[in-house]
Amino acid sequence: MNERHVFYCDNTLEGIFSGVYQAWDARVGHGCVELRTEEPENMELFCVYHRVKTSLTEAEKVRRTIARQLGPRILEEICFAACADDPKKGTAIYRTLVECLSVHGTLYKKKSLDNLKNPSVRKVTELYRSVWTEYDHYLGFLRFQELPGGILAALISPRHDLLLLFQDHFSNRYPRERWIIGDSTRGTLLVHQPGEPCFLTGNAGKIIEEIRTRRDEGGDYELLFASFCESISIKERENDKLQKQNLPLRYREDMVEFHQKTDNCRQKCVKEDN
Amino acid sequence: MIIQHNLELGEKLRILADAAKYDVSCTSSGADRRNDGTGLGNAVSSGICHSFSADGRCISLLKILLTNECVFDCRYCLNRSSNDVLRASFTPEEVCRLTVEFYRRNYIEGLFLSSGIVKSPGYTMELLYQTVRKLRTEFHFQGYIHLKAIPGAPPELIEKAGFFADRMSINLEFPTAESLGRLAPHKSRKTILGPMRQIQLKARENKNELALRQGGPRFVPAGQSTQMIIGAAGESDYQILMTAEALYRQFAMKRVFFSAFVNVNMDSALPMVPRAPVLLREHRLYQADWLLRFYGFEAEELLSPGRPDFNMLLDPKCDWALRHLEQFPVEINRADYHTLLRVPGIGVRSAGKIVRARQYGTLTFEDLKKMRVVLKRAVYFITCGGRMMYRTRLDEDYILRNLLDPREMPPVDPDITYRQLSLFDGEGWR
Repeated sequence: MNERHVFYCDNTLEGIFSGVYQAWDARVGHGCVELRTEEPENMELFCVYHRVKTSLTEAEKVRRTIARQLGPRILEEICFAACADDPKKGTAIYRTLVECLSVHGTLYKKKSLDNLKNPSVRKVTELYRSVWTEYDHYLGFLRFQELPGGILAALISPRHDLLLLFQDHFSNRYPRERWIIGDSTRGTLLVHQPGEPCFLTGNAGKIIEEIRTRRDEGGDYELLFASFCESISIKERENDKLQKQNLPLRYREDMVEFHQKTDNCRQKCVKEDN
Repeated sequence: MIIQHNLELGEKLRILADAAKYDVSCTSSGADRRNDGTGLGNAVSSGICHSFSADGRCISLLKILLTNECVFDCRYCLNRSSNDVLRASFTPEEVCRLTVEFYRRNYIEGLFLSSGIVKSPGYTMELLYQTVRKLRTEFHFQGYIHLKAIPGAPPELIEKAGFFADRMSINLEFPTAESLGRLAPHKSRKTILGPMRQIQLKARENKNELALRQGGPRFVPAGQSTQMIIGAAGESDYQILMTAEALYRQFAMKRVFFSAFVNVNMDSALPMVPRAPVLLREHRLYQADWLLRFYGFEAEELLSPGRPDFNMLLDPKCDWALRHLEQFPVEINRADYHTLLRVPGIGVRSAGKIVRARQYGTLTFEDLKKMRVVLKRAVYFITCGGRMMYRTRLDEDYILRNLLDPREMPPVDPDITYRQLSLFDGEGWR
């Protein structure tokens, strides 16, 4: 019986790509490899454990190979899948790459993620879809507020690790603004300065708390937008179920229009209290 | 007419957003533009929804009127000149400031600017043009702008404004000229279709120019759209759908929107339609609109003068499939993409997945389930490897019974009460 080889890597894109490189390089048989990003609660029998040290050089080699052999679309899908909050993502990515770069996979090359009969490819595609959906929602649902000094700050609580995926969209949208986006689930912060590339910092709990406190205070434009959202709805068509379907409740915690109380809303509350 | 001057910005926003809410279009799609590093904003071709209002509709753009003062007296419109409602106007500066500040906070994808007719169509169009010009040139806004063309405005103003907007629209309002003349006496087919044709021709001409000289100004890059009111003038679904198809073909519309009629003015010339049926009718028209745009259907296939309205119990594709059972069942492993698209329950995404995945081997029903192809409706119309999933009959009544979804049933009048029938109910027995 072949022993299973479990490779532990950091839960980052570079960590997973380093894991792919080292697991491939270990030559223990692709079918025996598992790539994990979390420590197990119990050690298993007939299983060899390896600790992967993240190496930017190795990660870059893997990235380059995927881009060259499989094309930018598959690279994007794998990068999105690597941001997912799923313990099985490492193994799925490894086995998908094995399938895509195998003799069978190279026949199809840039279309090899279409092979949805393969369970690993299917898993990566599902992860991509799930991360992309949340990312796409946050492109619209993320809310900045203006801090003193003109800095724009936003807080989000995503399931998946999305911060790095936002950099291209928002740095192109607000190239001349200073902005920060905080991930309150992971305590990380994406920072942008005009004319410079974005960078990511960890352990940003204090800054995130500060942003949250200021957000609760509100401002003029926050109130104006809440009032706009109230006015734009047609009373005869009100449909709470449809609203929940399009805008799930979990996003609303960080959205200003669901926190700011407009004058109309205050009057309603007073009537209800009386 | 009550005209209020010196209103606060918040109050103006409340009045003018409220006045704009019956315009359906709020999409920000069709334009793909990256920021050049000198201004604020960009445009994403798929569009982005930024919020959803209490009626479940998307909020993507700051949808406002420049003013709700109006000299037209359209019977269905809240802002008609004969209505005694609070009137307000934004200045171009206020519109620009609101757009930019909302955009910086990622509340919106851009601006949707419409207006009541102040003084004359030409004067109003000039005001709209000055506002979008200011937003683009002084505030360096590079986000999305949807601008209304005013019926009867001079062509040169529409052309100038089109170079600053991503999308322009002019509402057709009703599918027949007779209804338009009766309910919107100040508008005519000529003043609506004229600007539509002008925008279409100018956009086509501009595309050809761009091929020669990349980087030049683009005229309405996201195309144009229009909207029709449903249930106000007694038109059939067939008339509405044929008009929509003609608009797509002859005017190269990007979208035709449908708006379920709400009698806001309690006007005696307009019907007091109950809310639910007209909303379901609007839903059916949107489903049919999708079939025209993405599924290769034609309006004549879905409806005919003999069957002028949609079946309220079934979606248009199911309804069509049940009337054409001779074309089914379809073999998943062999049918081409366009045939798959005609199977109820299989959409553009599922058909694409099937066509791509079957290159790697024969697909079974188990594979389809794992690929998340929804089989609930499709199961009556498809085979995998020559077999159906269950022992089902290809019979119209049998499939119809199984397909009927209680959630799509027309709502029952709450005042009706039911009681158990007795054997002796009926004339002469009691």
